[in-house]
Amino acid sequence: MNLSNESDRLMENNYSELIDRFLRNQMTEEEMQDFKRQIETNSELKQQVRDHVLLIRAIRETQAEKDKQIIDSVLRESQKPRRTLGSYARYFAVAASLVLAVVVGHDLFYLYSANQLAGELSSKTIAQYQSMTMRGVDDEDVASLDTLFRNVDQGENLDETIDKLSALYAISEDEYVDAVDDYTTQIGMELAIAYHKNGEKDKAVSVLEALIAENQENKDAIRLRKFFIGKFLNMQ
Amino acid sequence: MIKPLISNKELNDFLRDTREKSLRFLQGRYSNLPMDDLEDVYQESSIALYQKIQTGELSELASSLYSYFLGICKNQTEKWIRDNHIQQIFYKEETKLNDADENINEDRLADLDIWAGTYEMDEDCNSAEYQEFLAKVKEGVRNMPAPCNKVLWSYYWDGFSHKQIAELYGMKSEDVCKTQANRCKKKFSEFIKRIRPTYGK
Repeated sequence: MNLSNESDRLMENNYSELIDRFLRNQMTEEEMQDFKRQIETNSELKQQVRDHVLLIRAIRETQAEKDKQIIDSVLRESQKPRRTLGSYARYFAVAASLVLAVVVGHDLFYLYSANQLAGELSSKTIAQYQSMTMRGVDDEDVASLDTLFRNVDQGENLDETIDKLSALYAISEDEYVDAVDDYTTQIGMELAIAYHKNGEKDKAVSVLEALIAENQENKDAIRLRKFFIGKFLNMQ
Repeated sequence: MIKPLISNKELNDFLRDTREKSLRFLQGRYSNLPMDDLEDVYQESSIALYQKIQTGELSELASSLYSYFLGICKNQTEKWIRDNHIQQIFYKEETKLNDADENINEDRLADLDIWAGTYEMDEDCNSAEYQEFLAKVKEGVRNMPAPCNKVLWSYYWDGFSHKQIAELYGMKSEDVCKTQANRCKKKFSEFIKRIRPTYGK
């Protein structure tokens, strides 16, 4: 063993540990003053401190950026629209008409549906939408399904959102509205989460159980139900 | 058709990368709980983290995401123990998480800036040369190979002690971790020497 090298290594390690102890507030006042004096008089230690601080700052900045990217990505995802046109264009059009009906109200809905959607919607479906508006969900404050889902994500306007989602869920479950079957599970899941966020856990579980009864392989609903009723009901 | 409860790729990658050490942490801390139960707790903790991010609770996160997540794992496990009326838990020696004394103190970093005249205090720190140097340093940190990335990131970002890091990564002892950390810091110093700006002191 080269004693000189070994001595250098020990010295370096010693400096490194001193720096870490200082940065973690593990020095006494006396030790700190001694450490300060050493930095000011020992150029080798001074350079080590410069490199050490650079390493720490670089790690903290890169890792903070990485964590922020994850958080921002989840937040972005929870705010973006859930569906796009394309292979679901027909369903989307139907759902959009449904939402529009809610937005503009009962009368305008008929006008719009007559002019724009007559070719797309069956008379039975229109009847269901009419039925929906008759059941009191034609609130002009509701802008779109996406808005409702976003409200759930962000825990905003929950009472109102639950009212709308409940009505939509009831309609989408109806056997006549085949065109919006695709949305039943999505609306149901969102409704369950909304109930849970609103402190109505029993209702949240009921919705999930209904979804599971419809499709016993709905793993998301099964997991969420377990989460709501299970050991972690009142997680921090 | 339906979006999975955790559909986000970035978060899934994070959970995948940290899964092994998180389970090891739980196994070490709650040594008499079966692995199946710990995996359940881990899964629920992952969902809890996802929901907390979604609801905006972590928008202003001051600590590292991983140390925060490990705190969730710990709380969920302890709640599980309470709810299941498990009487005897053979804790390993208590290891604190996010103990203020274990985290880097920003005021102390500022002290070192002044005492040692760190790069941030250089007159040229806004120059293109310095910015290029800084970019190389960050790139070096991002591409740091294992085990240096595990040891140094955990120590300086997650705020874990050498002892905790040794537990998380299954190292033989705290001393092994400390030795590894010193080697990595030395390598980093050599790297800095090679790319240091010409005005560097």
